Amino acid sequence: MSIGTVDESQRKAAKVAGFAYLITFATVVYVNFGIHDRLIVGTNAETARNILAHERLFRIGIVGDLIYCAGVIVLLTTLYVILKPVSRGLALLAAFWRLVWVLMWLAMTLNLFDALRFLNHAEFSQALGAERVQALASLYLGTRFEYYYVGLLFGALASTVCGYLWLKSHYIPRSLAVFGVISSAFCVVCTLVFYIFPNFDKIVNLWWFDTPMGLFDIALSFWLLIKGLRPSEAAVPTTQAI
Amino acid sequence: MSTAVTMERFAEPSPRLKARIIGVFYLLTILTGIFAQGFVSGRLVVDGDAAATATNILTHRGLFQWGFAVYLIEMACNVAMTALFYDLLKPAGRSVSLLAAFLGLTGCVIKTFSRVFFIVPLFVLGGAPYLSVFSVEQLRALALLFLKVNDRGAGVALVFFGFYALLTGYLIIRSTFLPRILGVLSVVGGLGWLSFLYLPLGHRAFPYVAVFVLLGAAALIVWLLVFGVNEQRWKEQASAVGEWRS
Repeated sequence: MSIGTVDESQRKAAKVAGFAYLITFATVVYVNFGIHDRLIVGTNAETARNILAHERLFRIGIVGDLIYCAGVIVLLTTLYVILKPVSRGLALLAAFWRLVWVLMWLAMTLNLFDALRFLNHAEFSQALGAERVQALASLYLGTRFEYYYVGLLFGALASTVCGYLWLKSHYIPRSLAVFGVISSAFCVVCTLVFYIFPNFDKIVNLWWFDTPMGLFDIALSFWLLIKGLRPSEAAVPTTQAI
Repeated sequence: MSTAVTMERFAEPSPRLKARIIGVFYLLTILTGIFAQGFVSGRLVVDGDAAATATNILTHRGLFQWGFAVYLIEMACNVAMTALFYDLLKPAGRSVSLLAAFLGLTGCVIKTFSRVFFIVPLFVLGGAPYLSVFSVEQLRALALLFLKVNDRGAGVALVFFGFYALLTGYLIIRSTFLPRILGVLSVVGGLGWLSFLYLPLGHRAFPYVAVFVLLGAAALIVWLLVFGVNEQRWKEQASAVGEWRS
């Protein structure tokens, strides 16, 4: 097998990665803006009322989050297959960091179940009172924010390493790969600064942390689906005895 | 019959360079861990005293946030070390190295997950309107509970790090490119971390185990940074198992 040129498994993996990027992106946009932003609003009591009145929709949101997690696992596997010939160690490192990201997302999703359990089991209200149960449910819903930003550091680190490997491989246009490295590294820096200075979001809006990286993901997914991988010019010829 | 063919490949860094990079990540993992645990968590969290802990956290809010950031940098470095060590130790045993990597990664994920419970007390104590139904004492108790969960989570992660150290030590002993004594130190340190299988024992043994593990880690770090690995022997062992082509 030649590893400078693109082999069949890499080509297939690139198509699957393109689909996985788009499906996970569409899922997360629907769940966040179509469900969570509709239900988790206002006071504790209003949020509790919304969730209980639209419990099925809330549960669909949980399923959407789980689909997102499955999609990211497909994505990290396919990226490992594509980028392993470029650098085995770094491709594995990116896969591990992305796995931490997706597991944090999974933990965040479990918090939705916890919040639901507080709200729709009468014994909690009887023991603690409705107001406190609603406050605890809000606390669980609120900690999703912490899970997200803890995971984001690892997701952005993975994306930075992948961007570097794309750049090194020449499988995609150089400008796209450079944008990937810069946008992901920017997200790493913003996230770290935000941990230490929580008011940093008044200087750089939270949306700007990961939006450029998201744009890179979208551009890359379309590139992989439409153009696929181009043979690398970065590989060096070596002589090998077989 | 053997035939010389020309093929293309991306240039891989040398095993010695890889070993040195692992040494850097290992060193960062240890230093950040000591800072966050010893200088932040250990200073601000008062065991069994919710009021004192709450006062400390709110008085030293900036330090607490630094501790959280450093904890996460520690985990990012630990994951990097785990992934790269897998690649370096693969010639000594591919399956065992893979198993070790997944055990190490599991420890890292559990510890990262626990760290969320380290930062949540800041919001619980920070006067969030949605928690106003709780009294100050209740919120302080809740904050200490979260910090305990963080602590216990880290304890559970140590069990996985124990198994990781055992297997890594075994691989170093089996390898021909790293000194066997480093493997023996790793195995003994791993057995020490396994005391966390029974948490009260783990907490009691922690000061002794931690000192021993730190000494072992320091020896391995210095070796990796200064000498890396014996490159010739690494290539010979890797060639023997089909992991290296010259």
